[in-house]
Amino acid sequence: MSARRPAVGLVVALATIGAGCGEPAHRQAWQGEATLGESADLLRVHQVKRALDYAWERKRVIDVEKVVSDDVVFVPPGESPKIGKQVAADWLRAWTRPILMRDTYVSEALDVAGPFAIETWTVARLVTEGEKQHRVRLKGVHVYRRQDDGRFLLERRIWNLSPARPAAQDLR
Amino acid sequence: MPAGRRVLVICSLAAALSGWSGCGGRRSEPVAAAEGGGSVAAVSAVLGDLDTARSEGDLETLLARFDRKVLVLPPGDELLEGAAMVRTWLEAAPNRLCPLRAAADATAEISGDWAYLTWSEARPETVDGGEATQLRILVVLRRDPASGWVVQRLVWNTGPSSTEESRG
Repeated sequence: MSARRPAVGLVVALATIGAGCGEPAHRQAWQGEATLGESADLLRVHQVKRALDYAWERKRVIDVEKVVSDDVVFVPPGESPKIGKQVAADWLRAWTRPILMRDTYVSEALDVAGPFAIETWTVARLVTEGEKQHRVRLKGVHVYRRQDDGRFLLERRIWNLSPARPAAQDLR
Repeated sequence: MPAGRRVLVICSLAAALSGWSGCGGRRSEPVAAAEGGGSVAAVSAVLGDLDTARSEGDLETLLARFDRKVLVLPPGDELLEGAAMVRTWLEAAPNRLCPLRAAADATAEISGDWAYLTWSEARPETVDGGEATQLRILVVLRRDPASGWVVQRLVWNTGPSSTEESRG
């Protein structure tokens, strides 16, 4: 069962953290032949993703904690892994710089297979800090795991940088 | 991933073995030490074979184990969508794929026909001329009825070594 969608979002968020911000501008219909139960799983994962985006956008670490597993692992590029909910939360709280970010999802693919949901995403980010602006492009993988109560929680988050593009291309 | 129902039985070897591969509640075993875990052994063997092909520059063997719709996320490069794009990328520079042999302390999460493994490897280069760097890898595999375990997703990045990762 797979789904892909492009999305756009405006976000005030944290510096080097991975994508996961913003409201979708539109959503592509689910692809494939998902059964009702499988569609429900896709929706559950997207609910978690939306909740994560919402919390991230508002720096609501306490709400981020609600949608990650106790042993969540964030693997940011250029930093040591953030292992466990508490460490990850502390890391998020530490990003207090007044940065405005605009994230544009370039692509997103979601596969749900039993207890796992694998999300692959690419994002174009415009970072504004005071008078300065710069663009970065990120891509990464999220692994969610189904809980006993049927919810999915984020378990792994690893991402890296893509090469920069000329500004004109960034705007596409 | 093709659409369709996947019946999955959890036989996961979860958690907190080494470093970033986990912490907290679940327990896990190293891939190399897993006993009776046929799937774990099979997945580990596939990765070992893949790494041999990678190191020998045997693109055909390597790509035969990549799903046609594989997504590869190399740091500092574009997302590679599909085996054909991976082939072009590797033909330009065969040695830029990350190591695929799962470290002995890798964490394997296997559920029916799906698995994902995470591990890290020390890199010779350093950060800012001082700190040692670590390569961190996540690979997702799916068991194909015809081909066996094939790579679905592959992502990696680098960062400084951490004491938790060397915790073992």
